[in-house]
Amino acid sequence: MFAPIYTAFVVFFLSVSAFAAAPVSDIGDQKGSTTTNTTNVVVPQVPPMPAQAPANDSYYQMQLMQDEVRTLRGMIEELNNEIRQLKKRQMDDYMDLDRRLSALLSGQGGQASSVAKNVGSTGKEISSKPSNSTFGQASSTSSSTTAERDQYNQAYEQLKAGKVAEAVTQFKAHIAKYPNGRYVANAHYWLGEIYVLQNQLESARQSFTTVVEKYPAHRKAPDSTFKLGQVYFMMGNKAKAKEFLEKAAAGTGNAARLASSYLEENF
Amino acid sequence: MRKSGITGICLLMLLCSVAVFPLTASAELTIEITQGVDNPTRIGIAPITRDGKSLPEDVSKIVSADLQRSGLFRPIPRRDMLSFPATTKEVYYRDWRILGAEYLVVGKTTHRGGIYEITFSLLEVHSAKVVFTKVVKGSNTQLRDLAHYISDEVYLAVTGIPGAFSTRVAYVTAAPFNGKMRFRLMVSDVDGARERLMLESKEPIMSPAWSPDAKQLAYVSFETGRPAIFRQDLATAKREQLTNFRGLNGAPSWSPDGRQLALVLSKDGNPEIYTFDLQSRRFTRRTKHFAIDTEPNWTPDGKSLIFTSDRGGSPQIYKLGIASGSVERLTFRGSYNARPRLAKDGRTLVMVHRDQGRFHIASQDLVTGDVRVLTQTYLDESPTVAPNGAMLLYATKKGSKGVLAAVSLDAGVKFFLPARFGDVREPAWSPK
Repeated sequence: MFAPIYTAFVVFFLSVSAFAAAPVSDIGDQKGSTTTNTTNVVVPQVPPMPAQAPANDSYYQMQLMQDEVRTLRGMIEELNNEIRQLKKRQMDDYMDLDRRLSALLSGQGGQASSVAKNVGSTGKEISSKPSNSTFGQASSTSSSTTAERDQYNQAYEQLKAGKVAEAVTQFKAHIAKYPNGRYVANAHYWLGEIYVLQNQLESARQSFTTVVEKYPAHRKAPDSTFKLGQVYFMMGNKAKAKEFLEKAAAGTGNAARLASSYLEENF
Repeated sequence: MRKSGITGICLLMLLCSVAVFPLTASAELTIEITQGVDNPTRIGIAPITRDGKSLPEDVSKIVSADLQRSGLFRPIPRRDMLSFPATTKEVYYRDWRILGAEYLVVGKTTHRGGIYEITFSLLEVHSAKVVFTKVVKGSNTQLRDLAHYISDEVYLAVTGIPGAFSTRVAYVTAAPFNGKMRFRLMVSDVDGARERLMLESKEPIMSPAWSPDAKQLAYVSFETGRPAIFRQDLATAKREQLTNFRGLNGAPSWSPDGRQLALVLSKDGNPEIYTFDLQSRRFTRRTKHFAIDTEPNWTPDGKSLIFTSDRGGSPQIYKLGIASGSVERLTFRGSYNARPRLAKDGRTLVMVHRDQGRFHIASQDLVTGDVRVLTQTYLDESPTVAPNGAMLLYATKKGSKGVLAAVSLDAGVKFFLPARFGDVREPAWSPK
């Protein structure tokens, strides 16, 4: 066990240092070379100290430094390990997500037909999806899905960084490039948000409507429904506003809560 | 002058140790099982006799005890048995079905020219089938070996894991003798029987380690007044002192090819890991760090050493590539991980792990990184893994007494091997 060995070592170290007491006193003039021999720490050649005391002091200093180095080393090792684990987890999470999304997209044939019945007018566009590129994209090379994700992320990063104009261009480019991609709904939603900020209410209305009508099952759909209600309210169309807000409030989650409080405040 | 004094002591000790006392009294170690698996296999072991006459050793009782100790079996007590078949033909399966036996072992012995020959069979009770029939031979003194061989074969056939009943354990006992501590290095069968004294000393004996062929032991003895590493042949009891450096000489560990020892020396200032080539007698320094590096142990491929170091501020386990010299930290859970030992799969690391101020034995899967605390006792130390990787032995405290305990690597089976007197510590499970 470590502790007994450690204590044994301490005992020995004490006895050894007692033994070596005589040589230590004349270490003063050749200190540099002695210390480099016993450890592998490169100690700069310090000019001979005038007094005896500073020699002990520098030994003490070295002890402190060694302790500090050990502590730092331990921290680095632990951080490295944490990074390694995070990287691995991130990869695992991504692989998992990717697998689930692919499964979802390839299973959309059955889903889309049920969606088509509900949505009516937009049903045609959705049901046409599996037959053209989405399915192909999802199951084709992963590099194209990575590129798609990267481009979306880039646009989103621009938005987070406050570069609104660039974000608009990139979201639009993303929608143009991957019209049936997996992030299109998100792109429309963020465009809508940006338009609201810029007070371009008609554009905002169009973006949110796209999400609500084309992607009713999407994660962003409830948010979009609420936002659409807000946009109609700002445009002065209270009837439409109420319709969408009530629809959003009937749902669950954050959007529903926001919608009901918005309704309470304004109607 | 000083040197001659040391050689004098050495000689004296050598003389003492050459006289290996075979203890005629029964074993110092007794076993009590504290935890077994939920649903152990019921097995009947019919008495193995020589035409109805009992053998010098009760072979079937030894087999029964072996299997019971593994925790995976529940042997049927002899007094419950309805019949004592000796061959497969004599087996009346209904007798055993009534008792709920899933398996049955029968055997008979012939004795010719001082050699015992046991023919034994394993039978499956429900399907009334013979799994195997084997023959094993040995002399009067080897009857226990024959019994352990039978246990190994039965264990392998039923569980699919090679048994470790034929292995031995080396350990150190400390007991007061005439008011002074007396240290003894002992080797016994893994069931505690046939205990043999290897060395007796007034000074501490530490860190016994088996050679890979299980024919020699290396250990640390303080008999010269300071720690020195010795090796000793089990058959001849001949000893050789390997190190005599100032400071720490400790924690020997044999390389898998048996040609080198990894050990700890503090001759260059602080404890560092060295390897010692037994042929060329050359020491090679393997670690260079101002922190303490200790407790080296080889990976099964012989290419790396795992060791304990506090170079990161707290004792943790590191792996050193011998060719590359690169050092990699292996343990990250907890602020104290020490005394590493690797199972033969090279993947399961066992160690002393501090958990909420208590020292437990834990295992870590080196591939997934999962850590598992295996023991509930405290002040646990010196884990050593069975060659089949199914169990480990460790030293712990029971009351104020140092005892050996065993736990399976899935933590399902636990038992103590308490000594009848004195403290037992530092177990080392033989590699075969």
